Amino acid sequence: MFRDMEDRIDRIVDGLLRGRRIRASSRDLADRAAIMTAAELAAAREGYPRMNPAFRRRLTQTLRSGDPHLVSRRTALGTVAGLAAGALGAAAIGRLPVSVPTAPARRSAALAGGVMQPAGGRWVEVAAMSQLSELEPTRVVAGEMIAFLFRQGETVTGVSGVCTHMPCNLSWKGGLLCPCHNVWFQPSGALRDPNYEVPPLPRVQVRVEGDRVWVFSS
Amino acid sequence: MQEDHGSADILELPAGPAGDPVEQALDELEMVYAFIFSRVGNRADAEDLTQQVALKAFPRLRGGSSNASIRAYLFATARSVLGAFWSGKFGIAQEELREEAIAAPAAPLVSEDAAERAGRILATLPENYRRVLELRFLRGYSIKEVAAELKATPGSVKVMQLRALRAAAKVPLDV
Repeated sequence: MFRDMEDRIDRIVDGLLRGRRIRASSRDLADRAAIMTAAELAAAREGYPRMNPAFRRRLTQTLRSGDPHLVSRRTALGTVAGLAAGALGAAAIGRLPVSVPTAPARRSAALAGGVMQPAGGRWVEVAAMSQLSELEPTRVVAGEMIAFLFRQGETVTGVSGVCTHMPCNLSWKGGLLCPCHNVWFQPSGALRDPNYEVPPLPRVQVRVEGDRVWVFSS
Repeated sequence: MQEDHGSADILELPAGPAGDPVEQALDELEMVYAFIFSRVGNRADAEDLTQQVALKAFPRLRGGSSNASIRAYLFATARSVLGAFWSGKFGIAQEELREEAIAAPAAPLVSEDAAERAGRILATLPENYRRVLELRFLRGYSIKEVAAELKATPGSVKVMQLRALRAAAKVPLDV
């Protein structure tokens, strides 16, 4: 229909690969299916994406306040703050380097050895030792990581608080329960039901210094 | 190794029962966000559309609803919001959009991730189309880099990219 359609499609693709909004318009109607497919393929770089923590906090505040006026992402976050979304966000913003593997490989690299090793990670203080109960785990969030910390005496271990099948937040009900599939994980991250084919939860690196508890996060 | 003292917050001490309706809805909205992102391919649009879903659906959710019913309602709303998004982009009625593009999986959600979905699409394409889309979308190559890899001109790669996307759009999914 349009002689420059391949150029227009490529500009849309290029924008998507740079993490930008879709720029399609009614002029692109003839190739709408191709554009929608391009968006789906662009999404493949992130595997299971999760909300940016800042966005989730804003959404939480709005739902709690009952405020019907949700500020648009662009206005609320500003262009810079909205893009500072940690490792996954960074991958979405810029063009991926040539050497970056595909999304599944990135995820497995982050979980090498069953331990969370977020790219560009840092130690984040999440709690005081005195705040951790030995009776129940403590759920903490640091950057894009959600984790459950288990205390036994002066030892603290942690596992991811997100199901390995879909990005569902686990809850503690005497075990770690995924509400999406009714699957239970043990505090070690292992599945309770060995017949269910879901990878175990990755462990979280935890450091205790005196009364301070740190996790290695993105 | 950098240390950060200020960016973490404790959500619950200790982990209590999940009875908070907002938290319950937000957990479901995480899945809605993932679904919307898998269809629009960028965070900015995905966040705006997820906000719209939350705004439309939350006032209509009743306390004590089951996770399954909340999820079903949120995904139905997400389908509607996505339909409006694309129909607005292209200036057409929602009914004209291809149904599978905005179809959401039924609750309880058991679905492949976006990478697996992309893999299924690419696997059905002819080798030359698949190669272009793999390099461009999964490896992040520029058009010039794809052209160098395939020993072709950038112009011909753009044409092949368009044809490959048209072919990929015809791959039946969600059936």
